[in-house]
Amino acid sequence: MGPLTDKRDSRGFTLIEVMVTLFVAAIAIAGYIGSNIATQRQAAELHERAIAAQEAQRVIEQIRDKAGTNNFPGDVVAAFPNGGTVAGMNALPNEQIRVDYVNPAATPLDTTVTVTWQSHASRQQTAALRAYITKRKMP
Amino acid sequence: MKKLASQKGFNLVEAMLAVALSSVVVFGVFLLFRVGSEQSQINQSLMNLKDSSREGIYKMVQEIRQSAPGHVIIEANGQSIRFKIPHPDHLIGPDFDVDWDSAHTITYTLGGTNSRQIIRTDTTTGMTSIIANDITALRFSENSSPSRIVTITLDTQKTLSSGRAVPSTPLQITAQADVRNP
Repeated sequence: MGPLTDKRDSRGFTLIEVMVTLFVAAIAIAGYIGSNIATQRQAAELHERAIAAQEAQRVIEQIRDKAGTNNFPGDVVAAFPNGGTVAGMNALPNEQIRVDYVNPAATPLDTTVTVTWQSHASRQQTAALRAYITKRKMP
Repeated sequence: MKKLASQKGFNLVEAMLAVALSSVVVFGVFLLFRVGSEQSQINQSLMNLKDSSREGIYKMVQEIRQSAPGHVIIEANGQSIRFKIPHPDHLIGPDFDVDWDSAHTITYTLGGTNSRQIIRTDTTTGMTSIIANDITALRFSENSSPSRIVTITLDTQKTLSSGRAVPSTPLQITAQADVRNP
């Protein structure tokens, strides 16, 4: 009698063994897919952040345009009041842009532009850009 | 001989079934990795696209900033721009103002391969260069006349070798340039 004729050794897998194998495989695949989804979500968030930086940069450029005046920083603060919001910027959902100055009478003008928006994960996100605005020769 | 007969192993049906099942499993795993590598290729080209178009728009912003109100003309329904920048060797005239007589005239417009490249032309020297690739649309607008703030908007999209367009809707980038010279 060789060992292969032993009935007990050639029975195959039991139901429990198969189920455990499937369970472990399912966990592994779920982990792989989950990490893919997380990466995608992170990329989308990064993209929103890049757009927010771009929007803040646009507002800084609009503020710089008001700095070409003999009434500095008066004209800048009049066009972009301290703590006020900037209208017409809507590259992101529920986007709001706020302008703050450390001291609205100082030269150069220490300016912070804060962008707030609703991210795709419906979380509130914020990005801020800080710049010094100086007086420019009048065009 | 009797001993050999008892060492039977699998029969043909069993072996075929096993091969068929394992081929399904291997195919599934292969598919999973192919989707993964395709996705990473898409992400890679998306990143390159964002990078190069942002670089291009900043190049344009930097140069337009050197112009002045009254020296910027937006042409062809906003699809191209013509503006003057001071010549680096003749920045200032005898009256210590910007020397606009020796200034260079620069144009930006779509052209080149499939009309999807931003072409910069220095019409004073006749030199042309490519600012960005894979641009599907380019628009310029101004806030007032004469323009003080130029808004540049570009759409970018790339078609991969698989025929897939990345991203599926063109990516839009906007920047504003305040013409700063007096």
